[in-house]
Amino acid sequence: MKQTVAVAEAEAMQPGPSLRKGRLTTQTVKSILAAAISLVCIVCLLAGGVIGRELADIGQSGTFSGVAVLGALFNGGELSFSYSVDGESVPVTAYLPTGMNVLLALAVAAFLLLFLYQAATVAVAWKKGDEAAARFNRAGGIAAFVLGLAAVAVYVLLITVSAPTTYLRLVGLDYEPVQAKFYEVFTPAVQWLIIGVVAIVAGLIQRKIDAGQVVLLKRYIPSYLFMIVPLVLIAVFNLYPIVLQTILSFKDYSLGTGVFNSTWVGLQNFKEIFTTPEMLRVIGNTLYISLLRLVGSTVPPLLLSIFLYDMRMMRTRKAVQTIVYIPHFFSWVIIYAITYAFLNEEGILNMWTGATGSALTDPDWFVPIVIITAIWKELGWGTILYLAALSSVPPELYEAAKLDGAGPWQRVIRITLPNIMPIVMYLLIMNLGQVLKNAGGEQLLLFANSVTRPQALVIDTWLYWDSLGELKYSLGAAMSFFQAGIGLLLVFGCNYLSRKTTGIGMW
Amino acid sequence: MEKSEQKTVRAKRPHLSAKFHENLYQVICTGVCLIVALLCLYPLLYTLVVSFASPSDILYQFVIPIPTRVSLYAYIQVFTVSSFLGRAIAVSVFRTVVGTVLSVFVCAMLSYAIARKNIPGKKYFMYLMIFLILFNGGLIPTYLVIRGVGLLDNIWVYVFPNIINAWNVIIVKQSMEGIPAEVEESAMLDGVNDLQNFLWVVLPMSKPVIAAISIFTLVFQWNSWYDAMLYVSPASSKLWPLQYYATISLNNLNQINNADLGNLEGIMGIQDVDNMSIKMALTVITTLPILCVYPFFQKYFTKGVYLGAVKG
Repeated sequence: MKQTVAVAEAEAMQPGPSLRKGRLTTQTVKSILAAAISLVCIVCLLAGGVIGRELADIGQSGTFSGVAVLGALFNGGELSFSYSVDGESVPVTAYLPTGMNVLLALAVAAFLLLFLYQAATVAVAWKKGDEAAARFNRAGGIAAFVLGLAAVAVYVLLITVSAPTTYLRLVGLDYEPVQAKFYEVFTPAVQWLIIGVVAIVAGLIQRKIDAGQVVLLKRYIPSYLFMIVPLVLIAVFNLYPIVLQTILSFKDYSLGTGVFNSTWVGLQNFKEIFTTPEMLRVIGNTLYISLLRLVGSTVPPLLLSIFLYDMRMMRTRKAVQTIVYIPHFFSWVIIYAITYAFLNEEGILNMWTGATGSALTDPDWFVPIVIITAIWKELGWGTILYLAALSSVPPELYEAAKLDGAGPWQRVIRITLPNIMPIVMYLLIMNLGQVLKNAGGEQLLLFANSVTRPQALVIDTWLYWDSLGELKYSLGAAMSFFQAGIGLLLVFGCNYLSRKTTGIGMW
Repeated sequence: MEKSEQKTVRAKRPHLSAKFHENLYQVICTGVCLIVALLCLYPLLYTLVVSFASPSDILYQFVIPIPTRVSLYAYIQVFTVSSFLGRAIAVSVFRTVVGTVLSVFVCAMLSYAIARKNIPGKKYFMYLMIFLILFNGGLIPTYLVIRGVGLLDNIWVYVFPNIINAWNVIIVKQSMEGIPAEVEESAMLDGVNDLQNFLWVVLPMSKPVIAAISIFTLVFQWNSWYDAMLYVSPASSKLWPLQYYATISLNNLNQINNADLGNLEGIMGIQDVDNMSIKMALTVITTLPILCVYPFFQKYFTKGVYLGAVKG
């Protein structure tokens, strides 16, 4: 089986003389495909929308073609349009800022150049054969890839940069110049995003796929069929929310207009997150509870695992392990019910201490209760990894230490701890990367009540109570975006740190 | 050389207190472990005992969890008087069984495809999986999507969004890559197609890892209540799983949920919702299935954690 594939690959890699010119080889097909894609891109940009006019107070959304934008370059950026109010047409003239105009024109021109290049590649592939075409295709792939990235960058620029833009609005009989931010007047057409992604994919295909890959692709078609259902699910339930989140964070979402017709607000939502004291308190609270949790999920399991490992009675050890793993499998609801049974007004704790109020409604006790119950739930479970790490410490070390007269405590400090420190550090660092997500929203939602709500306000609970509850959808999306984005950066940073310090990395 | 000889000699005649220290350490180890085990068990026993308390008991202050007067009042209320329990259990069982089977099967399908040797784009699919683990659409966009595809107040909301679990895909893929290539090749030579190869060769050979991820998915599905709170309104309370009923019976749910839950007695069909025993009885019923399957999956879960945590 393997051999046949290898032979097929070899055949495809070294085409016979008859395949070299004027035939549909892989290189030719690729160049034709690339040229077709860039032609579609340029047609979309010239005929379809490059930018649209914004909803706000100057009219319905619609788009200006690339031709109009190029024309505006010679017109001082002037773009005119009209919209109808009660059947009457109201003319509006808006001016593209020069920088934006040049940028857009350059982007359109770059796609035009790309198309010319890809067309040349087709000609080369046809006339000169595979080798020259392969060289052309490689360069074309890079160009398409870079241009795709540039198109996405242009889109991001258009929705975030608040360049001052003037437009003339008809008030009474006179035109009145009005100043507004760029994204309030013009909305970038979604084409930028789509064209960007298409160009990136086209570039990748043009660069990465060679004759051998084509053989493999054909061979694995049945395997790709296995991916259809999972990939559709991923696209709908994982990727689409990410796209929505990205768009929503830069918009002011209102229920009436929906996600795509709401107005752009640039970085407004993020500004609100970083300047409002309430939002800053939410972030601070998240960090506080997360870090406490991190300590609670590291130190107690570490100690317990050392004691468990050093215990000589194997039967008891197995029994203890079986018991301490149980709470991990309980839901937070159950943990809350048990906590409630202990801590309500008539609970067992009040009988012991003689107090009358419930600790559950005491704001000072909220965080300790949350952390202690979290430790209780995950204590046993946390030992699994440490126990595995401990069992990989060579037993000769302990025997040698014993022979050297080291006592049990010395063995723990001199041998056990240094040997499992790398895995402890690795877990600690990786969890540090998740610090914005690990505040435990599910637990806090359950444990909080109207008295302790301020203590329980972390990003996750804020999203549910305030963002979803009070319909602050855009702010919520921006918050999640910030949470996930910072989380991503932190994980990469921490992974780097972990590899530097402990030698263990996630990938 | 000399030094090590000296040490050997010294070790043969250990210091008198050394043995004492060893024993002391053993006592401390065993003591700490036993105390921790007790701390894990005690709350569970306490909950169990409270659920058997009679309604006339107002104070549930059993230091030693041995009930003085056993009463089945709470269980009678929950099982015979209430109107929700059977339905809630049915929903929970549905989401657990269907959710787990579909999730494990679909994840295994994706893993199988990614694990194929030399499949073009393998690297990119792995990047996608890692990206899905690290980056996610937040609460609001997910809610909008769920609403958009019409899963609000729909029982399938418990199943579809939870099918893909990128961790599981990676774990299963890793295990499938460990299957010797010869096995698959000889199967292919016998004229087996991809589907047959997946179902009858690769899947049976990944049984341990499939068992491990099934257990975690199963526990996750049984324990979930958050999605019921988010996506299923009180108007369709017949679609709530058992966990969510346990949640709302704990009474401070009116502060958790922004939506007005309305009449708790009406939803649950019990008059005496505020009774502590009833809450605990509900907790015990909710916990019981987990405790019942726990002994069977104990041997698998160490493997699961391990694969999940150490190597991405």
